[in-house]
Amino acid sequence: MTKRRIGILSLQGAVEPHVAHLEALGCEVVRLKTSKEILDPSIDAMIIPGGESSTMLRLISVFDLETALLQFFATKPVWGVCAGSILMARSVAPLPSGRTQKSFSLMDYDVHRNAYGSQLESFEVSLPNVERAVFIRAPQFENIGPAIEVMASHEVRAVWLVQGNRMATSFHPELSMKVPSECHRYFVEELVKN
Amino acid sequence: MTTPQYPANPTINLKVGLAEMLKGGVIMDVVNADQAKIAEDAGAVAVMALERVPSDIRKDGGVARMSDPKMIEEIVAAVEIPVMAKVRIGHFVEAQILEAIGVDYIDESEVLTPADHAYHINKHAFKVPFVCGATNLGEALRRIGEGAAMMRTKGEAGTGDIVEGVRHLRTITDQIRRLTVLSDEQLMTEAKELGAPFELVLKVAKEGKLPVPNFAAGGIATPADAALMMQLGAETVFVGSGIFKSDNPALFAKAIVKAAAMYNDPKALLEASRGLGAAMRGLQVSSLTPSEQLAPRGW
Repeated sequence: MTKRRIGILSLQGAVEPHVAHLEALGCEVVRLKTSKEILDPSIDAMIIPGGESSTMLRLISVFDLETALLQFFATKPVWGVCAGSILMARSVAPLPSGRTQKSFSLMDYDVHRNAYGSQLESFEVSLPNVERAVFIRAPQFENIGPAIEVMASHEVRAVWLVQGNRMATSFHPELSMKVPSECHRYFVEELVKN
Repeated sequence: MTTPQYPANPTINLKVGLAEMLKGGVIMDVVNADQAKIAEDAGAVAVMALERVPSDIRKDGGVARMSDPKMIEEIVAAVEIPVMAKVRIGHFVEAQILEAIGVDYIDESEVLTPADHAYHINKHAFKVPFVCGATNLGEALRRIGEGAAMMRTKGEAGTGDIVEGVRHLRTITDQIRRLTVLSDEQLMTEAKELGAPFELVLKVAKEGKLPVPNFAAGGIATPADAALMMQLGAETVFVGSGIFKSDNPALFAKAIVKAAAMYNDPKALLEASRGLGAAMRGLQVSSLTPSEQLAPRGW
């Protein structure tokens, strides 16, 4: 079996913390910044990491990556973490500042950016199937469609979603000290086909 | 599968975690909500809210303090990205006030007039994370020992001259590299020489990097300056006076964001640098008297 090659969109954000998890699962990590790198046929799947979603959107537009990304998403598995999950949403709820933010509508949920509040509201918690989930200025998923499987919830909120070969987490499995995390294992073993 | 080792104080994960999210980006000084929106639209990962950018603090003289909470609150309301704000070195009450506002990060900063000639803030006592400046590894590890969750070079703020930022980053990098090749029996003496906590010296010697993200600040004025600091190992850059003291702040802001993302790609840096108009005029650090320098503040 050849090593699975997992791309991480590396425009901005928490890219490196994913590496140990993916390598522990026997994957090779590839950092993706350009259209050419994104369209490399040897890449099996992509992670859109945590970071600032408005910065990533700006850079996707500046470097003209949208066409390549949509082409990738059309066939290959993708996992959005926190900011990445905001980019994957059907729509982003209007921001308190009154502005709007675009998203790529890859899964059937809407998202509310920074829904818990400022950094003072960031928290860590154990969930039944996630040893330690780290929420940092996290978004909340809303209007979750019937095609989505909810993998984990915190209180009344769904925080880990799967739809076909696409996955979204509002928390940060890459910051978990359990290596590999439950989410990395699921993504690689269940959604990334050989 | 490795056995998890959770720290005694879990909030440090959340504090360092937010710093992780800011990597590969640009944090911009802004003095009002309009500038904050320009910064966010340009792709800043965070803004630093302050009344006067460092070059104006330099020009105006007098005592530089925490900014008016009203102005910080207006900036918090205007943007979605994290908002940071500065307190004077050692002024833990200013920090309590900023925490009550709900800012996302506090910069215990040499740019403001120090409030304590001997002690920095005990940053473990706060839920809000802190960033601090350093000129060398010993200073960085003392701040981390006090609870800082992000380090930045001091550089020489408000000058637009990158020379001190480069000196500080190279010094820290060299000192880290040195630790990784010392034998175990040398590390205690090295900790004594650095004036750094022994446990942190052991950690750096083993891992070859700071235990928290290592960012650059002080004198960054152009896309090339930003990329220089990142090629030298900084993981994100702070730009203070460099954006809103340039001829065209929106253009400069966007260009520096581009440069930080593609810091290793000369062609992208060329694109980012072309046709920006004049950068901030700047001030040569070598022309400053010792009392005009900000980097020696802090202990």
